[in-house]
Amino acid sequence: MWFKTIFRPNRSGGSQGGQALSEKPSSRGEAPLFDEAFLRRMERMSLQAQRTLRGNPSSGEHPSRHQIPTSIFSDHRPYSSGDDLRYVDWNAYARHDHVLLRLGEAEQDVNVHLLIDASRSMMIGRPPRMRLAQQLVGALGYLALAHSDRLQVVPFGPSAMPVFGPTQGKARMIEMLRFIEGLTPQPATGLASVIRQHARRFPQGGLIVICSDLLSPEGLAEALRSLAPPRWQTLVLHLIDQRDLQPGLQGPLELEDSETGQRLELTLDDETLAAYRRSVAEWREGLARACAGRGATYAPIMSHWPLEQQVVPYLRARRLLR
Amino acid sequence: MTFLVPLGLLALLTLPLILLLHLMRERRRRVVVPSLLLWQLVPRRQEAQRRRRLPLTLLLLLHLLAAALLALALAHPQWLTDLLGRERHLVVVIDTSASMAAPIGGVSVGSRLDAARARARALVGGLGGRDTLTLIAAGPEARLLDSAGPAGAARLLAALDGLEAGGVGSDMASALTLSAADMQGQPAGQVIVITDAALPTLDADLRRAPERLALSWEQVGSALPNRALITLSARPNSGGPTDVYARATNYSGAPVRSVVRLYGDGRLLDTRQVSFPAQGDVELTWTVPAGVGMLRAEVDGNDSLPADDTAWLSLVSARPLRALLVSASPASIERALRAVPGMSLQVIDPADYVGQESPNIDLTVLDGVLPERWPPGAVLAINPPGKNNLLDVGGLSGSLASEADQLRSSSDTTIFDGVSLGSVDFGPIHAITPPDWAQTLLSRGGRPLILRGSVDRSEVAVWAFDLGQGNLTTRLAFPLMLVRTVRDLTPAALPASALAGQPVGLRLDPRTDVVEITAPDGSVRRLAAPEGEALPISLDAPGVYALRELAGADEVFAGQLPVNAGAARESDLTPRRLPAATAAPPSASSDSERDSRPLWPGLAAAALIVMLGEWVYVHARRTAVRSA
Repeated sequence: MWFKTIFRPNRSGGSQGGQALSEKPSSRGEAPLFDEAFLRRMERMSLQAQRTLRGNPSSGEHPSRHQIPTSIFSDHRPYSSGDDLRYVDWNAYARHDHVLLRLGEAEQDVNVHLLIDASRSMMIGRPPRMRLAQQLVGALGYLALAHSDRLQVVPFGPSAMPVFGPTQGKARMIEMLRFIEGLTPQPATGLASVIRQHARRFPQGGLIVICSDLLSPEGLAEALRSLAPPRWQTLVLHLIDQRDLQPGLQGPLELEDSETGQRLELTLDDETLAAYRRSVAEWREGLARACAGRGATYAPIMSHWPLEQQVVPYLRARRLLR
Repeated sequence: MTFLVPLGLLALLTLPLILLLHLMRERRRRVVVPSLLLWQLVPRRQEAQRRRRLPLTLLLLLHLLAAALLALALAHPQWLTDLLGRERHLVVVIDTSASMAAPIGGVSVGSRLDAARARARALVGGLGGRDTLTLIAAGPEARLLDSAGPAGAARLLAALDGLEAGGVGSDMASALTLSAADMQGQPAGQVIVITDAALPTLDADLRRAPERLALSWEQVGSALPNRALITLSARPNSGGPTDVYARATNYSGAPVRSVVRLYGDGRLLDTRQVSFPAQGDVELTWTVPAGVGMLRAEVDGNDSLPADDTAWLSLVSARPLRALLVSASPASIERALRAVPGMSLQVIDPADYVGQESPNIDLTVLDGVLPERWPPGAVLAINPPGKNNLLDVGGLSGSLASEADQLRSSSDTTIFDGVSLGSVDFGPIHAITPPDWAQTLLSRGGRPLILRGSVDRSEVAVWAFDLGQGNLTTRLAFPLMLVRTVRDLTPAALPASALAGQPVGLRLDPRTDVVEITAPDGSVRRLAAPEGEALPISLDAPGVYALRELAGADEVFAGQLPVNAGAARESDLTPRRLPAATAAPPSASSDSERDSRPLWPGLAAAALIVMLGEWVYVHARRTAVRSA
């Protein structure tokens, strides 16, 4: 296929897009984000966008809340002056003596906003959370482009970084993947401020996917206030590392924050670790409650889950993909 | 272990300092986490308590070990080879005097010697490695019993089993001298004296004992009351009754009434009630009729030491002497000989004398005649004839003595003590060449007048002058010289009594081959008679000993020797204050250098190894933290 060159290793050192995309993974010694077969399988799926979202009915494949005259029948309405006579249901006029117009389902494209956390905390873990975040954003972005949605990729650290998009069409896929792979770690996470800022910039709303570890001192609930439905359909993908749940640490330790460099002396014993696990569980429950309270979908994802075998089926099960 | 620089141990003060530093600054492993957001939610109320607890880490142990090793190395410790296996040498001196037969006293059962034996057995049982132990018995005479290591323990135990208490006095000075000699070249030796401390002469003994001994004293037994007959003696009274004196002593703090009995030849002669004052004596006298040979006095016993409750005394003051006088004119000689106590005399003419050798003749006096060989026993040859096979007799010299011919007497004899020979005219003197076996006791102008010597089994005295041609027989000096010569030639009488354990020198008949001694318990001991010397014997058990002098199968003499255990220095069972234990003198500096092993190089090397291990541990941990 034409995009096969994207995943081909760079042997010639040329400056073409596909070769440039594979340059960074090979230089890091890492595997590419996707393989070709995976993208082909992903093409059969699409994002599950709500009907209430405002989109452009000229393109797109998502159902709209509007009904328009169409050959595909779903309902009638009385004829009014100026309506196209091609959509008059003459059979109904013959039986009922009323001129009725044939109406059908309208389709639209939606604005897809993919917010990816690029802070340093995303680099910690085995594998790093950032890896899965790049794969997720890449896959969802590919689905958006493939289904003629308007895509925007917004990486953020303490503030919003230069964004990719808004754009439409598969032709931007290579550029999008290169953009995602080129993300550099940021010193902090300003989740709430970035979301508020982004919501103000795009008042028409859309489908927004927040892909983050949510380790931000700013509250998620406050941030979700600016992403209120029905204008926004919010999907929070919480990337969790196994060591967030089971630290595997013991004894006297000096813990260092990967973003702020702040240190904390703790002596970890069974009692302390149990308290830690309790606080993590409470924190996750708080996040889920906040999302539920603001009409957002909260989907915790373990960073070691394989994308195709575990993450995608999980998203389908949560009706985030179809 | 000793320290050459003890001040170096002050470096051990770094140990609490290290502990304090570890307590103050607990070193934590640094771990980078995505965010402290979650960790800050953990309750930290017990953190302060955890900080106060000392973290027992490998690093802390390594620091403490290194500091301790360095501190010890600074003190320059050194092992003495005593602790590295040098042999220990013990000398155990056991008091075996009669007082050790007394009970221990108190609630303990058994004699003091039993207790001493048990203690010595324990010491023998404690021998190990190359240790050695020497046993010395300190009775009236000190004796070295045996010396062995652990392999010879059975021998030592057998020697201990053979010990018996007996004899008066403990010769501690000789025992300690023996100990010192035994410990020659044994720097790790020690002397242990086990005694009941009833040693009145201990201070004098210690003055004679060698100094600089590692000496410790162990006392067995306690003070016990005792009564003893410490003196029983008689004044010789020829032919008549004998006056007997006895002294009994009460060694207790309370007065005691008792009974003293006197037996003569086994027959009860007298019984007296006596009252002993506290720590006092009772003196008794008796007059014993003539004819009694052996006296026995008894004080009523029932005290701690029965052995000294009985005393024996022999009243036989003279040894029977059977003499044969061969002389043509025996009158003067016979008259003088008959004055000798216990003498039975037989006189024969020279013509009848054919050189009789009879075991019944103890003394042969030959006047003007000599047989072919010297008769056995005592022989006095007067005026020996010129022709004989025994002496080289020359012609007669003149009788008038010039001024230059002064009498010269030997200082080795007591025959002439108190005897005036100034007016004695010995008459013509035979020119006798003194034989090798004879010594000249009296001479005039170089010519021997009286010779004395021992030849074969004969004690011989030669008077080289004719009694009939001088005036000696008319002088007082004649019977004195004759009796003294006879006493010199014949053995002395047995002592009236002897103290148990004290040495007695028996002067035997020259014909005696073997002396047979029968102890009070019936055991018989046979001793070979030395030639020309007294036979020293020591009899430990109290009682009456029977002595027989045998010449082949013939009995030459039979007598009795009583041995008593009562003595002031032995019967008093009050323990004396024993001296404090003394340590061995420090050895010479060269020895100490040779025997010491400095340890600081090893300790310093060990500290270096520990510090190297600490560095490796810290480096490995840092690497692990970085990789994490």
